[in-house]
Amino acid sequence: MYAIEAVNLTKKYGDFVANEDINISIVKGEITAIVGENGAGKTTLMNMFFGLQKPSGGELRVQGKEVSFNSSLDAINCGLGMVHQHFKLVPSLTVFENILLGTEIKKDIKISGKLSFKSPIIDRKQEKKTVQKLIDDYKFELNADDIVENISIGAKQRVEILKMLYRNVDILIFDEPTAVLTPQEVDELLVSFKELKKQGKTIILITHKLREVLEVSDKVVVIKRGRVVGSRATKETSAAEIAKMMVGREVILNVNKKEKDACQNKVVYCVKNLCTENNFGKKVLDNISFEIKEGEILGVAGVEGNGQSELVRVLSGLMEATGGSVHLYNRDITNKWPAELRSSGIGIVPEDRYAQGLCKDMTISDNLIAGYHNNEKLCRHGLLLKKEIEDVSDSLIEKYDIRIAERNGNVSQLSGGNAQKIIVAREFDSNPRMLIVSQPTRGVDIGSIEFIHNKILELRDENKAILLVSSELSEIMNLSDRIIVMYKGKIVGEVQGRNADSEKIGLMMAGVSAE
Amino acid sequence: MKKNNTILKSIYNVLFPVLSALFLGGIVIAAIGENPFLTYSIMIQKSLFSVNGLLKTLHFAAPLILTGLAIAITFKANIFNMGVEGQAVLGAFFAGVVGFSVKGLPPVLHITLCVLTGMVVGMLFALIPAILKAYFNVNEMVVTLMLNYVVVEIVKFLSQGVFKDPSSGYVSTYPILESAMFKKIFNSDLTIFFFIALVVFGIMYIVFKHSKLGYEVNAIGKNPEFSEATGMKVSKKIMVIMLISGAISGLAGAGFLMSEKFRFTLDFSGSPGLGWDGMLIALLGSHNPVGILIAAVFYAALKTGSDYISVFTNVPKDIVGVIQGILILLLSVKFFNGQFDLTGKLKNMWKRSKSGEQKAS
Amino acid sequence: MNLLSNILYDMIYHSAPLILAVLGGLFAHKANVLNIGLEGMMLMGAFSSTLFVMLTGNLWIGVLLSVLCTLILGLIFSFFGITMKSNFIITGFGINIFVLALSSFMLKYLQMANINVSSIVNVTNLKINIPFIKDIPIVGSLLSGHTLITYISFILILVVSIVMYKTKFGVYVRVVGENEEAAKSVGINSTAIKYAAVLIGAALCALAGANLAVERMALFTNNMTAGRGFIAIAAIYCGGAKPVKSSIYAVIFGLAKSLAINLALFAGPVSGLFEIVPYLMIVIVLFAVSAVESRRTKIRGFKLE
Repeated sequence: MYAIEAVNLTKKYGDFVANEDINISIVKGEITAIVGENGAGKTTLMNMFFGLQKPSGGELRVQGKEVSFNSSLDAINCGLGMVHQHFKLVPSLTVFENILLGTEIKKDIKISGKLSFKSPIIDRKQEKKTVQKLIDDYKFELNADDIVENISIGAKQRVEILKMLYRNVDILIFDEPTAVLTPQEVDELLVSFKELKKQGKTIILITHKLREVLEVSDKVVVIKRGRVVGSRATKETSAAEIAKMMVGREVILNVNKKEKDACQNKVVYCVKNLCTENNFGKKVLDNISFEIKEGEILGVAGVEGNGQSELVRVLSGLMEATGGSVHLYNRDITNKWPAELRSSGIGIVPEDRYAQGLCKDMTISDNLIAGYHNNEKLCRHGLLLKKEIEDVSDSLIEKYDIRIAERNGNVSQLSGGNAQKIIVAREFDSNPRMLIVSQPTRGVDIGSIEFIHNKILELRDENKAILLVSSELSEIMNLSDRIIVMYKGKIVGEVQGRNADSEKIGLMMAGVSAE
Repeated sequence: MKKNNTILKSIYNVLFPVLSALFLGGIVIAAIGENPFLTYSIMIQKSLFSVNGLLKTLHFAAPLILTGLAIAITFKANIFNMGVEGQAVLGAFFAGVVGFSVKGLPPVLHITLCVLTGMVVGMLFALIPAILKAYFNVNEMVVTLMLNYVVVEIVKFLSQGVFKDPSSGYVSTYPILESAMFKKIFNSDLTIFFFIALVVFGIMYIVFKHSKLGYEVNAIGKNPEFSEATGMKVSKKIMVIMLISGAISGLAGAGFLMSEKFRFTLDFSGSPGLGWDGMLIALLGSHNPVGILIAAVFYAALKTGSDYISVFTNVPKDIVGVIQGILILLLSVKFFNGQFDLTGKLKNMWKRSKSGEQKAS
Repeated sequence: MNLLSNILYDMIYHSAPLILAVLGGLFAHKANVLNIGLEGMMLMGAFSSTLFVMLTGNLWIGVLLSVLCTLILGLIFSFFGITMKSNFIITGFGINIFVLALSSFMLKYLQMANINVSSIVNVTNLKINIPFIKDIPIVGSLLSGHTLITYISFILILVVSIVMYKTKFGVYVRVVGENEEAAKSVGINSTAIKYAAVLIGAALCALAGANLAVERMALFTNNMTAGRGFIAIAAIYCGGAKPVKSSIYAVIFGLAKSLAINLALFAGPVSGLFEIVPYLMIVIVLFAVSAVESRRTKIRGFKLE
């Protein structure tokens, strides 16, 4: 008997088929990896497993019985638990409140002897005790009393896991669990996978990182364009074979980068002692200093939430610096607004694509001119020149290979890769002297990743200075000439890109100094 | 093909609420024992199907076009300037003051002066919430609403005090001088003011559809963070938008006073008031200038028509307000497309019932 | 001395409906449903309570029926705003304008300038004088001589605090507002929670309206809530949607109103201008609170709310 069995499972949204005739059998007590590119349909499949979406066709069996989930609660009651990529936690509540959410323990009111009834008041003491015991049982490193917004990402993930374990699930689904962790935290997680497996749990791991797959899983299932394209026992396969199945062609996993020495070049961008605070007056950028020279890519590595977002915000004019300075070719541009930064020759690819980079509900051509709509080529006497805008858009769409149905369609219809290419086209094509690029390939398909990486390297070879911020360590290591590592708002170390060692960077990301 | 579809959908999105609101209003009328068909037919006949009625409707549409545009430009930027009412009233009041206190000017000059006064006062009054919103992020909706009450009290105080016309039987300022009045054209109700409103409409049409500002307003309304990141200086734009809105509101008030009321009374703006009518019109026209023009005429027709229904039936003319409230409620939902897809749901139901039939057979 | 106790008495008097609207609005606000319709719901409470008292001849049946009416209004708001995912702000204004128009339509139809039920309800008898306390100066005017709903409103501050922070329902309301996905993932019915939050608000607004109209004056006049619903929203903002803190702001606004009324007596010809004091004060308080907030944040620009 299988733990979960999908028979011809299909999910359609209108005309779009997200999953088609998926057949998967998951063996009890095994770790099954489901791999595929972004947008291949992994998440849709898991959402159907977990009751978040209803299949349009096919059958789902759990422990041999056919099931039809109306909500995730039904799935949990059937013994299925899911740890989401974007945690479903409530930041302002404590760890124990989050774990017990939905199954709160209420205070008993005792009226003499045996007579007692539940009061509507929550028994926090009892809740805390219960959760602490659970934490101890699974030997997790966690404090039941902490407020969730203050704990590390790894700890948040442990809260998510415990939330499911408390509900006595036998099958655990992990959606891209390592995307946000340091290499060391990844190792710890892989250890807990093995521990959970030993305790008899069945694990489904959704990922696109092949290292983890090869290390822990028993079986690999590859999904492409909503279909299962291959299924192997992990022992009998290799990274190259899985990658080929995922993409459908040979993939060169390393970027073709010309090594060159930028030491002698002119300094383009100089940041000195930059500081800023968050809303609670806490320093989130603490004396950040670095220089970028012509033809150089400076990579910023670090676990998310260690000040990289704030750094990009400050440098792109969306947040005020409380101290320090920023210079572009000796010109002071500290605390300038985005419009001034752009006109002085800085291109910006912001961190959050749909919050700062694009306006989902505007047309593609409107998005392609944003930030440069003041340009006299596009705007005269306060009126926009329709014809010129159309021409510019058309040429960008062609040059950057943005695949769209129509120019006047909305950005919300585009895939992550094509949406990101709009920003890249807009910012790279404005002939900037300096580029700030943050998370350029998050949630982007492999083809677009290759394209964007090559564009970044092209600009570097045109002698531009580039600041690259990414939580994807491999991206930083592949592209950067120099790498700085941030931890708790400070730069804790710097290494040359050429001889970068992921182990060493990983330690710095976790706050262990280079020495 | 696709574009046609969206236009069609937006027409449905307006037609469905309008018809439903009229239907529900009809139920209210029937509930008090009157004949809804008779009531509505009187309304329409008097306001649309006679030359005089139509001209009167257009005349009343003029201030509504303006307040509709004033609201639409802020709503489009996701700024809730609820102060259009206050800005219009204050603009009208001071235009009136200039209208009766400045003497001896030729009509063209006097009218221009009054109109400008109204616009400047409206702008200045919009400046307060604008600064508070743009530079201190104070919720503009609450501020403008509170300031509306302040306006009511101030104009009440002034028209009971220094500017009170003692010869009038109720609280009122002096009437404006002849030289400050918009003249009636060919003895109809229509005045130059209607054409001024049309000119403003034309300018706003270009602003909305072709200008950089219109592009930025659209972007700010849809995603302010994106707009800031792409260098639109959102706070500055909020100031500009609010000032434009204030000026148009002031113009609406001033023009209404100079073309219809001629003196300021406490019920000048009517119930629920020009600004609130403007909100309905902006919604009805989906923040689109042409839509606003049509909506203003439609709503002016309802209002003009409502003046007659109390003559022929026992329905109080406040029924228009009831319909207005229901209409705003219904307009807040996009029934077709958008988040709640009525057509999609109906189609699904249709499909399901069909497949059910097939199974049964 | 007399002036001081008048001011204090009026402060409590004018705070009560505000506190009720604040407490009612809090739940919806915490559940991330901005309820602009508080004003209309309050007006509905005022109008329907007076109307039903007049029709039934009994105070408490009238109040009960008005709560029912306002709940229906709350249901309409919830249906549009939550089920149909409308623009809350517009829906709220729709509610406000609809109630305002409906009440004046009904007044016109009944051919009355206002609804006066003083023949049924004796206002002075509704005031509860607490023995001993009523004779203590100052404390007496604070604590004694108020109506039942006024006392209820102050007791509710405590009740709402407990419900919000100590019970399952309160936790769920906050969770739904903060991270709806988290709530859904553990099987909390977020739609039901939101409906409940709005309906609690509607019920409390009905009480606020009844307090304003029937219980204090036995009278309904057109648009008598005069922006109190929006004042409540301002208080919720200023108090960071915390029950006690927001209620304190409601009392501050009550004090402003009380000062305006009591001091206007000495102002002679400009007494009319004192009416603007409470409204201006709200703008100033909002400004102060937001200015402190915006000084603290280093992030530029606005976010989509």
